[in-house]
Amino acid sequence: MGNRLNVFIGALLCSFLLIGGVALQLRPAAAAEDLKLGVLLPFTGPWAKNGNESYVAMEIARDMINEAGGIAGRKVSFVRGDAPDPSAGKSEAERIISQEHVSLITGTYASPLGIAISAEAERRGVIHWETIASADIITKRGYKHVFQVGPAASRYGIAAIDFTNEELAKRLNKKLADLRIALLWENRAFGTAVGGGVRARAEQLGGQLIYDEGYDQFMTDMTPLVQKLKDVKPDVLLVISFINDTVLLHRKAKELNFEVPVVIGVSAGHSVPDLKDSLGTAVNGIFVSDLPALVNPKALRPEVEAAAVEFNKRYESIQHRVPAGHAVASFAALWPLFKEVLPKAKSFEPEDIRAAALSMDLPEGSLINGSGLKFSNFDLPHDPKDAGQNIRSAIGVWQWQQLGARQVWPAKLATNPIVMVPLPPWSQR
Amino acid sequence: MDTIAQLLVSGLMLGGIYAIMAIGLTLIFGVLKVVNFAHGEFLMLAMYLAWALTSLAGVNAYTALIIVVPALFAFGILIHLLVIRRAVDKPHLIVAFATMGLSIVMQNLALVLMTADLRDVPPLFGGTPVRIGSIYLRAELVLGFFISVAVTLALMIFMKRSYIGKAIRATVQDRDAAMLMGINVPRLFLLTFAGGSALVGLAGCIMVPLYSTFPTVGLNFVLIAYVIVVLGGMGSMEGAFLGGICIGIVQSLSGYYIAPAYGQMFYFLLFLLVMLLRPNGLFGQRGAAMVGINE
Repeated sequence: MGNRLNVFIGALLCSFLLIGGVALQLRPAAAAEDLKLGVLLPFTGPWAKNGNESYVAMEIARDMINEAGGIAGRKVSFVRGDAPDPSAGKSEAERIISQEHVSLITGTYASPLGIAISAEAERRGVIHWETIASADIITKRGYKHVFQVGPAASRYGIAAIDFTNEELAKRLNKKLADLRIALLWENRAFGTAVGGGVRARAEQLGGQLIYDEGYDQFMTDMTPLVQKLKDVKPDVLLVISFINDTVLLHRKAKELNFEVPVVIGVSAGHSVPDLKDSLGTAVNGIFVSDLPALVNPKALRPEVEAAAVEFNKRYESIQHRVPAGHAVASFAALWPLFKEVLPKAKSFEPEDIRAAALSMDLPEGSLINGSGLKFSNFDLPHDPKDAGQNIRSAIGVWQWQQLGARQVWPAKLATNPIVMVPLPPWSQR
Repeated sequence: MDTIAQLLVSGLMLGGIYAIMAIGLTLIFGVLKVVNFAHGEFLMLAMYLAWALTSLAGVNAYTALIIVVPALFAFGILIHLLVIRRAVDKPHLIVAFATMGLSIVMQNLALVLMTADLRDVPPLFGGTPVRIGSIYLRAELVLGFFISVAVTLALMIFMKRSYIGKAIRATVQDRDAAMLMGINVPRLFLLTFAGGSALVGLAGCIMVPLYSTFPTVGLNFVLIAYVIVVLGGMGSMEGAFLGGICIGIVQSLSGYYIAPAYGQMFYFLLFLLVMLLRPNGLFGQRGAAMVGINE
């Protein structure tokens, strides 16, 4: 009797479990669970401004894809992690990956963050989809799950020298070899990497850097730097800096009456729209080697151009200003992920996402900033250690004109002609 | 020659401005024997206030002093009552963590309320620099320097002559003895903390035309302020003033003649030397360096 009762109870329990199991299995199909992605950005701390702007752009991409029905019927949702510095970012990434079980994390805006957070993703076997962080090392560590959609830092430097060679030299009536080029770089990951690109390219093309100096981005007095620049009298000043030091540098240049015919900033500090509030009309004429922001629509595929128009419209209505390069790049990196990569993945497991990403072969003009999408996979002849770098990412030069950003180079992406070479004296700026 | 003159004068002027920021800190340090880790955020608050008054009410940053300095005095009273007073007699770590917490709260509040945008005020006289021979200087830098010098001198006289000044100096020397002499030490603590905050208010108004304002602006300066305070001798105003000028000039010269990337390294080197050779700082009273050991 006792045995029978036990069997009965056992059977009852089993059937409950079975029903429960089936119900559990059915649940996702009935109300398709959101596809959760981890987003790690500096929401607080010194990079917060650009981090928050990048997030706005990412939210627009998320909303647009969800309004279009999501990906394979599943809505995209974000799990936010604050990454004010590399170690905080790393532990947030750890938390999101282990507790929220995401297959993909994205972000991170700044190179030191990208380096730390992508390492964590690789360790956990999760995809890291890097939007902007550009340090070359990110894709050169033999990792298999890290994809860098924006250009590597050295390419910002290469673009600055190529632009000088192709466009500025003739306007200054000199050959590249005779131009006096000065290079100023903030001495952390970004400045070091971009500076490397500048030096290598200048040497390759026979240009000379008459001054090459690193500095601390938290410097509170720019007098020594500007005084040195006055001594060396450059024709072209290349500056790799963040926003606050950029403002201090130009103010000090004005204070000490340092005149230079051409200033080329490299992304970051010179690309922040606020620069015009801090420097006023003195900002006009400065070139910025950067991720393209608003490119010539003719360079984009028609459906991509439509996405660009919609993105710009939404961004302006939220932020009341046009998006800067980093915001555009954040959208540009997520849109093909949502439209091309994830729909082609067999499942949303990391290995399938990776296979889909590696199968991408989108021509230039497929991302809203003019980029294409094709990743290296230990197959670059000149750089066999590189994997996950988007070899078709766009880079160009824009100029501050009438307090706004106008793409001027390369010709294909340009919307406006180059003006103000050489720069007028301070009294007329 | 022109170059060295430019570097010396620029360094001197900026050093004077660093000093006014450090004097508030040294007062608090010397009297209360607490390290206010939120000092940089007090500066940030003052800069935001000065910026708001200039851009909303249209006054210049120096007129804004009339409101910002009392406002920071009141803010100092508030923070003293809410945070410092409760922590001042507890072990040093408690005050350190309390003020560090305050600093993080203030930074993030600023981030939420003001966003991370840089805020700037329009330059005086259209930003045209003052030219003395071959030396160029911004008008705001010169003005800031002279205000700093004037305030420091006035404060020194106040400390020497007035009852409160004497009481403050007595408390710096020996808190217990001062209390036995009938000095109302808790009230003096309140007054010093608020006064130190008011000085940061002054520093904020002087700095807002020279530097952009953003939530983490304090971090860029607070380290310099600590170095100046220890260099000059904790609690010594003359020390803080000369310490500030020292740092300004060292920064300027080492940045030019050695490398800008090492500017910070050099003033820390100077700091280390002073610590080893004169542990009480250049002008510190004996025992000034004993903060934290007695308690």
